[in-house]
Amino acid sequence: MHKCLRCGKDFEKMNEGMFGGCPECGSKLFLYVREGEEEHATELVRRLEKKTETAGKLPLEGAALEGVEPLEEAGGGGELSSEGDKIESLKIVSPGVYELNLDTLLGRRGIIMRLKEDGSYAIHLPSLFEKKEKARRNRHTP
Amino acid sequence: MVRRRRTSGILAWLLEALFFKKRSVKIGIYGPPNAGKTTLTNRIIHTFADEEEDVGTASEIPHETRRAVRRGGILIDLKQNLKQFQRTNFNSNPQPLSDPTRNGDPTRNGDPSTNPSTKSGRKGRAKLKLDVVDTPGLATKIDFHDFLAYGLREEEAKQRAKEATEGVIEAIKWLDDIDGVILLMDATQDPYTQTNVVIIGNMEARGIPVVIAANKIDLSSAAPQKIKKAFPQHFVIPISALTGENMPEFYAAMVRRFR
Repeated sequence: MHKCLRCGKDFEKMNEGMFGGCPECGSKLFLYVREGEEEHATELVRRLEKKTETAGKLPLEGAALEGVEPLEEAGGGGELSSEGDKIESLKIVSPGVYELNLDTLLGRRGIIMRLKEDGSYAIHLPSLFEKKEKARRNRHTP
Repeated sequence: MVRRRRTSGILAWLLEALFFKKRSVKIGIYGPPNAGKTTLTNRIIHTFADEEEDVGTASEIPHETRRAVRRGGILIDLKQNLKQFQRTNFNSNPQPLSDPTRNGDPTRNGDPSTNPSTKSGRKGRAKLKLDVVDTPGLATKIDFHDFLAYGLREEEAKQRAKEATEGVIEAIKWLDDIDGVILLMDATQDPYTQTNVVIIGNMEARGIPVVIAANKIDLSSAAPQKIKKAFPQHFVIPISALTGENMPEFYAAMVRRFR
């Protein structure tokens, strides 16, 4: 049985409709659960949720990887949004402190950096163009 | 231009088909920081390519590897290398060695009937030509403060954090060019981490074959059975990349899964 890690819906078997994500909530994270281990799976989901919550409030001062400057000096803090709401793949918490959203990065969605809590983002265009270029090349390759 | 590419593609395919030249598979070694990825990569190279060559330096400081390193031209020949396993893999803990090419794989989780070698009976084909890619450790948070405890100066620690972050992105980019993944986990740590679950979920979605190596079984606190229980749908092989314990079984699983 496959259990959606976001909405908790159970699926007896993987089907084609699930390749794009959970039909209920769109999440791409599933947990494989063997018969009789449902309780164990529920405990795992609970622990993962708890870990996400305890990521906590984080200050943001604004810094950047080489070649990308912060939009302006940042300040303040804020609650981390839930995984589903995040569009950024990388968050620069302060100089030398980075948070990575592996789900977004692994999903080949290009690199979007969050610089401030008030909604300032930096978009790494080459990573987005690279994706389109690859798709174009694949179309032309026999 | 498209036509030329197509023609060359067909030509390459014909040449391959005519001369039975089997291409190398690219195997990425992924996992969280300090799981032992570089130690494992070095061991594979020492066993099958060059005893003197290292792709990187293993270190107790997390994120020692910050660039992906590829080593090509490795041929795993289980039968040929049996003697070599005995020489290189059990230096610190000599044990009698069983034939890793025999049928049946006790390390596979789940239904043993799904074992490809048991199904096809092709036990003689125990070779795998591969390139290995040692990748930077995947993490959801990289904080320079963690490096200060190892004696790094603040500037060095910040630089390391920046490079480690770039390394994670590079490691993920490599996945587009990878045929199989060895996911290395530290058997002394809790396997239920966001990083492990996200990587496995993504590999399954991409259809990339995965072998999980539960590393560091030489340590008394290692609990590889926890990893087996957490990811029952995958091959999980307990190993010690440092001492070489159980490596023949691991290589046999690699050949079966990635061939």
